[in-house]
Amino acid sequence: MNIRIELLERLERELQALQVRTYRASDAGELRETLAGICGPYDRSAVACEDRPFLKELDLGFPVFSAREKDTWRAEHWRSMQEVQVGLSGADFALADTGTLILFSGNAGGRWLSLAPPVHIALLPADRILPGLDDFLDRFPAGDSLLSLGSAVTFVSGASRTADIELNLVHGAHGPKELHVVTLLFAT
Amino acid sequence: MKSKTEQFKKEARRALTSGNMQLAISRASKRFSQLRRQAFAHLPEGEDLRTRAQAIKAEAVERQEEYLEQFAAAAEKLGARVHRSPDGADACRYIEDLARTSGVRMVVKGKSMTTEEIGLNGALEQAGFQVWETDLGEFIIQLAGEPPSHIIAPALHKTQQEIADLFVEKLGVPLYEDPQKLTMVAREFLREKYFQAGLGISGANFALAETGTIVILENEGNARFSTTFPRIHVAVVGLEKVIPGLSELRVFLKLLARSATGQKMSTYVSLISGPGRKNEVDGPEELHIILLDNGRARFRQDAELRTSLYCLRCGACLNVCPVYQRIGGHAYGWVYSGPIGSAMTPQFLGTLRAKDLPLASTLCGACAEVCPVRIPLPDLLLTLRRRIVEAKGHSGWERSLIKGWAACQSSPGCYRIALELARLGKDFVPGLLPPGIELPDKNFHRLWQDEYQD
Ligand code: SF4
Repeated sequence: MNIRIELLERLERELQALQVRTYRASDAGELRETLAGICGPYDRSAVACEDRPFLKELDLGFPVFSAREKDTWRAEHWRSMQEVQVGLSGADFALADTGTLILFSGNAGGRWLSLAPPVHIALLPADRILPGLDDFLDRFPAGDSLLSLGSAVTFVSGASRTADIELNLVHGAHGPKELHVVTLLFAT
Repeated sequence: MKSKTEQFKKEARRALTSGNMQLAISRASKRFSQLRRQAFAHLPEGEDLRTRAQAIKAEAVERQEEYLEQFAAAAEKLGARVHRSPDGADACRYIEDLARTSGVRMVVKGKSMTTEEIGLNGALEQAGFQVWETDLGEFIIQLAGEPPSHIIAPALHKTQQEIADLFVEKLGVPLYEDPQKLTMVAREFLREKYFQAGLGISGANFALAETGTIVILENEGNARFSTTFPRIHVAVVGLEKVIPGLSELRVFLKLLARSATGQKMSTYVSLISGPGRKNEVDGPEELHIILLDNGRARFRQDAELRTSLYCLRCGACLNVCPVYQRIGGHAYGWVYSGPIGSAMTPQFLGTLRAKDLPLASTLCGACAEVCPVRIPLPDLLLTLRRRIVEAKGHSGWERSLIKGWAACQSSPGCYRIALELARLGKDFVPGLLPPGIELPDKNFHRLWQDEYQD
């Protein structure tokens, strides 16, 4: 895999400035260890793993959250939200300049897996790191190619935050209180 | 929102004497300004981006109709329903009808100045729906029954203590003393509302003509919740929000968060293209987009003021404004405050109704210096001042006063004597100077003569 280490370092610097915790994993074994560390305080059943092909192959041993029936998903999400403490998803792209992850709702985790659980862990293949916004948008010169990615393309820069009470910074206003990014240095 | 803009002078005076609030506002606005300055210091292309942003908005407003049609067609192709509302009443009625026919009882809302502008909450509540603001600041002021005091930080004027007491009273929780705990109270309280609500309302920061996409920036995630879980998502979008497409969007994404809070990017930027799709696990079943005129088409015809339509609602001009810093947002009496409020409110409500606002400016130009789309705010205020005078005319004594002032200004000796008189006068005539304003011991002439000359 072609890894630009300078880009990765820049991304990690920006993420850390946003109080995001960063990790690297050079093989599936390391990834398992890292995840075990992050998920330590939680029960395995409190983790929901996105149903993406590459995550399936890694076989991380967490319950997989898969696509649900259209008319019952709300009730199921609500129930899952009571139980799920950690959402484990892939990241489709990352922007080094701003410490941004880009997530497509067209993927199996949809919109909620990166939003509702108090802890969000994003697994980022290292070759998906781009320098900045322009590099991402230039991939979609026609515009509508972006539409195929899902009804919501979300740029995430850090954990949910607010400063609405006397300017005190608080994480986890509505979305995740913690964001962890694990960069995968091996082919997925 | 009901307007109290006619009472600007009274409210401004009240704000000046309310120590706590004044302190909170000046602290916050200075902090935001500082963060903005730091962010731009690390963005060498910042000035160039501002110029490009202005050019993009100018073109987009010029060809607005064309872009709106393109946007509507693209959004409808994605399964959204697009409705054009000539005014706020029509938009409110559309949402009420939609909620009623869909059997909705509860509505959740993401932060949106445009819905404040049309008084949507009041209308929905009156029609019998339960409405919850979900942005923490908006939630706080909703519980308190107060209007927003800042474009991006609506509860800026409330102290932690007041918020703690408010939560005890309205939510029946114990008295929590720290912001972390208070934020968690709101988080837990609102969580289930996203699932109970049948309808979620948002604004939009941009609408992309090319793809029919709406773009929402936020930090908390409440807008993501409100536009994901309720069965119906309604976005209320001012006509001026439409821009050609993604290549234009990038310019604004680099500028907006930096101008507002000094962040390189808002925590969440959502590009929403149509309702949730068949192959997706979540997302609303229906997306309705209301393109709101409410006067905007008229403002667009006004060659002297149309640049005010470029506004991104970033709040940077409020934060640097010496008048806003002292009186805060409430005194302006309507949704939009600070320099942009002084330029917009007279257009929305009528020049004479809001006649005090354009006067509440030192014309120092700080606002134009920071505006990410380079709106010439002082020029707009001068235009409005001229129109106010044209509409109501000068009284005799005003005219003599101005003549006298002009004569005095053109003679250095006379000017100096007048200044000394004012300095003496303020001790004898209470109320000559507004509260909180102090004259320095030496005026500039004196200081120059005594200390800097030669
Ligand atoms: S006028 Fe300019 S600075 Fe003021 S809120 Fe609008 S975009 Fe921001």
